[in-house]
Amino acid sequence: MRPTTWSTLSNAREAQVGASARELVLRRDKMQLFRYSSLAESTPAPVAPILIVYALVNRPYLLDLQPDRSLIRGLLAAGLDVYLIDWGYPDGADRLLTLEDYLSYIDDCVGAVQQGRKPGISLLGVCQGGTLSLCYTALHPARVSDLITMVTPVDFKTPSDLLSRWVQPLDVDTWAGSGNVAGEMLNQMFLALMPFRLTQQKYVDLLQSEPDAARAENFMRMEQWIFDSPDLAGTAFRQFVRWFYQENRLVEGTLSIGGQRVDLAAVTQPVLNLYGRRDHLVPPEASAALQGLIGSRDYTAREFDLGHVGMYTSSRAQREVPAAIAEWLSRPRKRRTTYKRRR
Amino acid sequence: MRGSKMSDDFMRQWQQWASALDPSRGASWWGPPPPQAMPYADLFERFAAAAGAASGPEAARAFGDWLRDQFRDPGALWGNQLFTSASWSAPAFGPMREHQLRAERMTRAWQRAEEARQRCARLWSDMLREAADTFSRGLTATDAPAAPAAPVTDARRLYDQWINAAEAAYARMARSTDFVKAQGDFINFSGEMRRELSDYAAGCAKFLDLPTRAELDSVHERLRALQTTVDKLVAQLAQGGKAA
Repeated sequence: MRPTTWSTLSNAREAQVGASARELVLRRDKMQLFRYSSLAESTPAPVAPILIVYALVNRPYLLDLQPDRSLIRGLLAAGLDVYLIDWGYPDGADRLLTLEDYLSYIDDCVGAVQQGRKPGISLLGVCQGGTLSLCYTALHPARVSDLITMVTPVDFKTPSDLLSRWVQPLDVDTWAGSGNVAGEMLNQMFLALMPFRLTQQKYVDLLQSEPDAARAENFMRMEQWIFDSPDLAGTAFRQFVRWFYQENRLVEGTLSIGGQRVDLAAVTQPVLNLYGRRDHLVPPEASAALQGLIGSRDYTAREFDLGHVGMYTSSRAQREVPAAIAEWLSRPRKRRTTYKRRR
Repeated sequence: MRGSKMSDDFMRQWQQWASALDPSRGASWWGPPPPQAMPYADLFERFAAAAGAASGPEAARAFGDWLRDQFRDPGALWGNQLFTSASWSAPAFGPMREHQLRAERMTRAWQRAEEARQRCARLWSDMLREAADTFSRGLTATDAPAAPAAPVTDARRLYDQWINAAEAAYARMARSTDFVKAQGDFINFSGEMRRELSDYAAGCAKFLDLPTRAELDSVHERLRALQTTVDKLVAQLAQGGKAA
């Protein structure tokens, strides 16, 4: 009997996510640090290891969804030594975790990656993970040799940022309460940014297409990723919304974490900033604002004609993004500027 | 003599208080009109404000919005009566004072969240009407009369045109001050209601000798402080070991 789209989708229910082999390097509370195995066919690149800091929202397997849609695989193919932080699924025991705690987790991971090597790693921050990476780099500049930010919000009050507009009138303490924030609720908010396309049209597209097992599996993997939403540690969430979205402290220069001022001028290492022209979650101008705030003279921006998720999963991204990162890491360096901490 | 003055004062105040509670006497020095009249007073104020702004369409719109809210669900008219009953604004004293105040706060938050939800629903309804207008205009009209719009026969193309019209109308609404305010109010007041409900549940938990959220948080914070101290001591010991 000829398969229908429906039966093909039913067969793809349990599509596996995560394509590349990896080993656990470090575990602290629910955070885990993984190191990916190098690919047999790749030649190790003579550059520092790269540590990927993913967002607290959603799961990091988006970066390694399947063999032909994997940013991580692309980086491995370029000979890079790749590490990834997985934040896990916070529960009630994590409700008091602060942004300071998350930066401390990153610091532990940086320490683990650097163990037995010469100092310096490349930090690749993804989306909100990019914002955390910027804060970490500003506070620990000596520990990071290169910084790559990918679809990273920096200016949280750009005119086209609908999410930011919605968040401004919210009383974050009342909204979030004292507990964790349900990932499902945030997901609803993300879907509400384009409700007709994201909750209707894409399913019509799918059901109208020819039954194809590979396509159905791709679709199911993305569905799994979209709705596999960890809850967010309540305290860190409230801090993030208030300090970044509502008060735009990173741009205003008024951010302090754990009693230490986060001054982006302290980011003097080379910076590569990657963002999508059609990103509806993090508008390009929200990322591009970075250039005017950091102290680095070695700044490169790459805008891709892609949306937020397309930056990881589109076939164009597979061709262009890992290559852009690998090329940038291997280029000749400019001399680093020195930063004098202001009081 | 002094005792008599006190009892006169008490009697006078008691009578004033009792008369204020008597709905047959209407509004008194006690304050605003009775709760049952509030929706109408609110409508009057909004209508007068809109008319004062010399905007006929605005005044008509305010009236239209009010009508839509009033008659969206005939059953809700009775429900609203329940939640605006005079008992919620009665003075609070005596052993049940705290319970009454909590119930009032919860009801007020519920009313505000419901009112904000209605505003959101109205804006959605307006947006869908705008989307439908744009969609149907796209099917029938064209800027150039000489070149009439080609009839759309492909159902999928028709559907995509509808999605485009709907997303465009939605994007305008979603950015509007009215929508941002209505959505924000809905989320904030829903949160307030949840907080009051949580307080109520904590009271029940205490009565049953079950741990409350506040107690757990307090223990959690102590544990965290202890962990921080242990981490510092371990780091100091490690430093000491290295130095030795």
